[in-house]
Amino acid sequence: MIGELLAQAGDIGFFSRLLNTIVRGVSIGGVYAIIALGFVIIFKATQVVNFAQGALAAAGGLFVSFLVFDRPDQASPAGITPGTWWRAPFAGDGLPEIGEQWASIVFVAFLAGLLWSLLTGGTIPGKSLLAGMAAFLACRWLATRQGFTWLEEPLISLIIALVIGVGAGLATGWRPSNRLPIGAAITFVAMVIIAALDSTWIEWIGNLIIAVVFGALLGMALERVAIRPMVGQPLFSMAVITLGLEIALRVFTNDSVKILQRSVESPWSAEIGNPDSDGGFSLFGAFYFWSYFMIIIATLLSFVAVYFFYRSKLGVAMRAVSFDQEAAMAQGINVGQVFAIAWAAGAGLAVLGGVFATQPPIEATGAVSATTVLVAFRALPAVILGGLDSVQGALIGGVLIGLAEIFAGEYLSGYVDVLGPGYQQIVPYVVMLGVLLVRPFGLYGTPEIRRV
Amino acid sequence: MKRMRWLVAMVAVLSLFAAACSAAEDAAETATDAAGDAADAATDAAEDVVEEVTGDDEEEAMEEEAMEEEEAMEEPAELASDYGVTEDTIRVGMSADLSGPFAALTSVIVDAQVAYFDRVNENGGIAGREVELVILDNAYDVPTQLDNYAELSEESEEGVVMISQSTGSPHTSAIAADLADDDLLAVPLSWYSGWVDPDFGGNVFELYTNYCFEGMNGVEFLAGQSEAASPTLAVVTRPGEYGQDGAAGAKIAAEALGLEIVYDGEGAVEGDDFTPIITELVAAQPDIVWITTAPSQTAQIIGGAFAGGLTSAIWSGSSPSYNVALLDTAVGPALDAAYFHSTYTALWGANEEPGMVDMMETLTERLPTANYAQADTFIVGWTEAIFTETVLRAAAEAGDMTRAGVVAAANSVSVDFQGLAPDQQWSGDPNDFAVRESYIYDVVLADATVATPITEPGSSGLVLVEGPFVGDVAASYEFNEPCFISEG
Amino acid sequence: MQGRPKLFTSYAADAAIFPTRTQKVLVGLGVLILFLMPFDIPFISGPVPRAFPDDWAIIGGRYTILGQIPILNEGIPLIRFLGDGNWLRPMTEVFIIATAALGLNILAGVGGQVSLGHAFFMGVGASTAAVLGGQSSEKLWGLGLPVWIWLPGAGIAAALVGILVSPTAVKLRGLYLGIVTLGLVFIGIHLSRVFPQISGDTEAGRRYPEFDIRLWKEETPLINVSSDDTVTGILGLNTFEVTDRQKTYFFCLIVLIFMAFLAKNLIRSRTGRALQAIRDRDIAAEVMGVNEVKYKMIAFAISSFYAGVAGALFASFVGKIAGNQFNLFLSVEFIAILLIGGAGTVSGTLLGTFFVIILPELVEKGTEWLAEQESGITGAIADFVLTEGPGDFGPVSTANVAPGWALNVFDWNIVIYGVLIVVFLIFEPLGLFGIWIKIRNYWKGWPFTY
Repeated sequence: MIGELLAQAGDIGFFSRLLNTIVRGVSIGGVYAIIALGFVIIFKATQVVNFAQGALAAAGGLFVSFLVFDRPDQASPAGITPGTWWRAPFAGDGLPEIGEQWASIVFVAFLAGLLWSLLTGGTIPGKSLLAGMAAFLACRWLATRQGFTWLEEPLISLIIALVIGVGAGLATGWRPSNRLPIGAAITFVAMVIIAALDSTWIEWIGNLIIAVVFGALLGMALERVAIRPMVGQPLFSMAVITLGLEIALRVFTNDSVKILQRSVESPWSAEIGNPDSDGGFSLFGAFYFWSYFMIIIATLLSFVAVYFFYRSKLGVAMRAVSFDQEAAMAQGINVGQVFAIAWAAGAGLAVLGGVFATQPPIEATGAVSATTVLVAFRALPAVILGGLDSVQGALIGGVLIGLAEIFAGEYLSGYVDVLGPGYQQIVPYVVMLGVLLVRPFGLYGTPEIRRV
Repeated sequence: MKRMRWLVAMVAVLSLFAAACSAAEDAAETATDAAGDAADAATDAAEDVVEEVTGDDEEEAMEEEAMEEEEAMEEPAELASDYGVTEDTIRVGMSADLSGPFAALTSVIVDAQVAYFDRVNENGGIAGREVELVILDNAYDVPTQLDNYAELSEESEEGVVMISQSTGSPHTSAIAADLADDDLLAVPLSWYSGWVDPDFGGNVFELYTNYCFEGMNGVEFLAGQSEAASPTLAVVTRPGEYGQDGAAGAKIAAEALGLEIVYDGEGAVEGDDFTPIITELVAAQPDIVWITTAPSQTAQIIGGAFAGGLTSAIWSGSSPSYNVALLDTAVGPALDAAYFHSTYTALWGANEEPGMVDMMETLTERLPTANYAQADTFIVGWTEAIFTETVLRAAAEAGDMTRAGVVAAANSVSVDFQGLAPDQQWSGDPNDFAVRESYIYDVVLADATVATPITEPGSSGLVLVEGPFVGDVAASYEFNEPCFISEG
Repeated sequence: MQGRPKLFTSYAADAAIFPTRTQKVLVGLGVLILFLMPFDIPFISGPVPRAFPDDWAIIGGRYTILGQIPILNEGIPLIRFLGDGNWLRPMTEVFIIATAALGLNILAGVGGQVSLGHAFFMGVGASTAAVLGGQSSEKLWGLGLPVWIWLPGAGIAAALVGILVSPTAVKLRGLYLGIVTLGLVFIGIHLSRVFPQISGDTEAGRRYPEFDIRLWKEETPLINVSSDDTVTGILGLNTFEVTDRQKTYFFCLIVLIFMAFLAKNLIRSRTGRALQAIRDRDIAAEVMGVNEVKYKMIAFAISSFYAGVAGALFASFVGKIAGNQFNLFLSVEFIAILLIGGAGTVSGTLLGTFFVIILPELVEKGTEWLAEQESGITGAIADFVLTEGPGDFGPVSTANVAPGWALNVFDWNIVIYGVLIVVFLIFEPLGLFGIWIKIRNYWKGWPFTY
């Protein structure tokens, strides 16, 4: 085999194929990493391996797909533009188009800010920004839907929003030295840039953010109902509870998939076989989907977000809880809140991973399928490989597992007679077993200290 | 204290006995008259008495409804019967995948059968008896299928007289020997060529053509469509009776037509990642591809092959490999460009035959929420129901509705599918009676309105190219044994 | 000693398999009922069966004293339906799954080593049974040996694989162990694809040997288990039919009873105590001189032995089974059984298996029953719960089975299964066994309970 590879090495096709394989491997690994990160966040805070991540991931794809409803069978209420139901409150007849555009941008930013402030506990300038955004949205809604003609000019809405926002900040003790909440600001800027590009992007990213928020709320609800009563019980019981949740939730996600293919309709939408919009580009004779790079970007963004999150006040609290629950409690940290936030973040990441798991290279159809729920089980070796409680472990484990799987599939395809059909799908488990024999707690996991 | 507890317990037990004795005394007295072998009948009578004593309130309320129904029913004919047929009902069983991987397909088929028999019952039933469908879920799981079979085949009133749906090749083959033992008839939702096996072929009634002939027809059709003078073939299938039977048919055609097989992926499709298959397909660059998989797998493989650079090949595959709903996804254009759908029956609205018109009218009325993604699948359930009704009526006419009688009737009838599928009968040599016709459709994305309800005009995006179609290979093939025999 | 429970005067009495008389009686009764269940015997079921054709037949006849008690003639419905063929199969399945669950109970319940790989070891057992007992053909390996070789052989092979795996397991702790053993399941299914000579076709599987008891490879078996028979009853008074299902039922029941006694015995032995010490605090156990590596290896071997035997039984019971049946869901089922039944106890494991396997049947029957209700309170409930046509509301659809809201009863069964795991763990962490203990304690102190 090595001889063959060396013989091919002189050829540009060889490098092109290698590059393509690496990109696919890294992007599939990116999805694993996002989901693994969800596992890690939940495990760090609550010591629970959340086996329900798969169902949450599938639910995420479905959320986005439901939000992009432009199908005649899901008849939308009159007057709502398909795919952008949340823009509808701001869409008026004959009103300035720019007002609608702004309103939708602000709405998305508002939701992102809300999520961020939920996760970090919120800072005063953050709250004032949110108040301002809410005021702006209310003005636009009044103008377009309730016929307040004097509000028609978007600039007036903006001025009112500024006054209310700054007023709210001052009233609650705003000091200019406080840092702006990074997440909301970054999202806001990104939204404006993207809006300048194409409105389908904001719509879709808006849907994605809403789906992540839904997922986070679902995660919080699950934690409250099923996990909170179990605090202090054996860890394995908690893990099995999540297995029970997975079994129950999966029925609903699968049932939704069975009726129709639930397409996620991403803005870089691949239409495989359509030369005008094939959703990618060719380089040295190999084809690259845009989604490969979108997944890599999403992976990096989520790891950056988690990095900052762990630096926030609540993130520190979470790290304290994961270090020593009782000591953290004694320091006045609200452990229940930390649990809830961890589940929200973990579930949100599962949703994000689930949405990208509907894209190539994992799924060619760009739609949620019955196998989307299995992506969490495919990501499990990544979590274990990196270490159950390590953030960088999730990233490195995910990418390693993705590369191992794709490389095995691509370069060993001639040996399928010996290896058996579908051999590449157990490569992650074999890699995981091999590494664990040498390092029982994964590459970056913290070894458990045993005391009597 | 201990004695106290005993006392309480004894009093409770005695009072229970007293209550039981007084309530059923009449019944017991009636029963004492009969003797010897008639004991069973006497107990039945006793049960009747008890029922009359206890259940009068509800029955009065229902009597009016019952009267109306009885008017519609013809007078029940005197029939020989053993299990599953009583004075007023005929129990027909189904063991279908309603929660497993093929549930989307199977549940639609079951719903079509239910709608069909609802109508049969409203029109007076069969031989004056109402057809009662016993629907069980096998979850595409062999042990569950066996549990279901035990329940359906029970030799009492709880059993059924025939099984009008048994999902899955491995699942049906797991019960095939028992079917022959119990003299029970089953219609498999599987088009494996091995169902004509002499051991159980008299009990397993495969409708329409099989995977093997379909593969021959498909490959021959593709070879004719291809621009290449001598097209190269790739075969990609799942392992097992379904996939490898299809692969066997494709290979028989390849050999007869002198096609070179450049990639043989028989049994290679497993799980949900297909990187090695796609790599090999792209490297082999075949002109035509035959695929026997599940719809989601087809989408993955075609999508991956297109992205990998195999854009010139034309594809077709066994009927269950394709699902209209795939047109709604990113691989829609690829399917439109390269895929031909093969089926065993005519599709929804494809012709004006009386059977088609009748089915469309009935189902539009009874299942108004169904959409065009499901419409084509209805036909399978509908034709299964036509088969079931024909067989039951034939058995009733012969005056023998025992299980064996129903099997005998099925072995002698000729079923008229009223233009929905080629007419079929099962007597004689399989080589003579096996159906060899399949239908081949082109996928047209622009026409497809997958999510439209069937009450409105729409289309599943399939345009008939050939059908009923029998290629030369299939027509001249000596069908004396299954094309593929599994290792079990 | 009367009236003073839990007062033991010797160590032997304390460590007896069944320390109290009540337990002995209960176990005896349970076993008796299980043995009588498959028959339509008037004591517990149905109208006078053919087994007692004469009116004066000793126990069941109409002119005897028992025959005068109408309720016995009518049959006690709860047990009566177990006489039917369709309840025999699930019950047999309960015995087989319980055998495997007993093994996991020793590993996870007693030893504290949670494994999600139990299905893998069942698969190993099934494969061994196939090779040892199955018939060989062109494409299949099989030695055609009798059951007394392949059944223990399946257990031993699985135990050996368990010993092979245990060094890894000793290194890993807690959830890492759980997930690694989960990996074993995937690897096992893949191996079954790589070796079709052992496991047969990937989807259809292969035929597994039957339970017929032979001395060696002779034609007619010593005891015929796989086909119906007519048996002459006690004193030659009567004859009755025994079907293959009933025989399989007894075969599996006997295996289960044997294995359950073995498990019960093991728990009270030196090994059992060592495992409990490891579960409670492994490092403390080591300090006390318990060899952790050795005992974990023993636990894995024993648990895999049980799984192997059960796997062989299961494959043979199903008849034709594919390698991918030994999958993650089966493993999860065992965990659910353990947690619902109550981990660490033999009776809890048995209760849990019964509950988990029989529950779906009960839900289906219950829905059928509900669908027949037209009026009264049950009718109102039925109206609220069931969707019988378009425009109706209610979570359970009886009108059609197609996907979409108003899920069909089969989907609800899965949801109920999942939710029950959650509910049991939250409200009764000790499982059914815990509930039983509570009831027992209530009556023990009655009427002075609070």
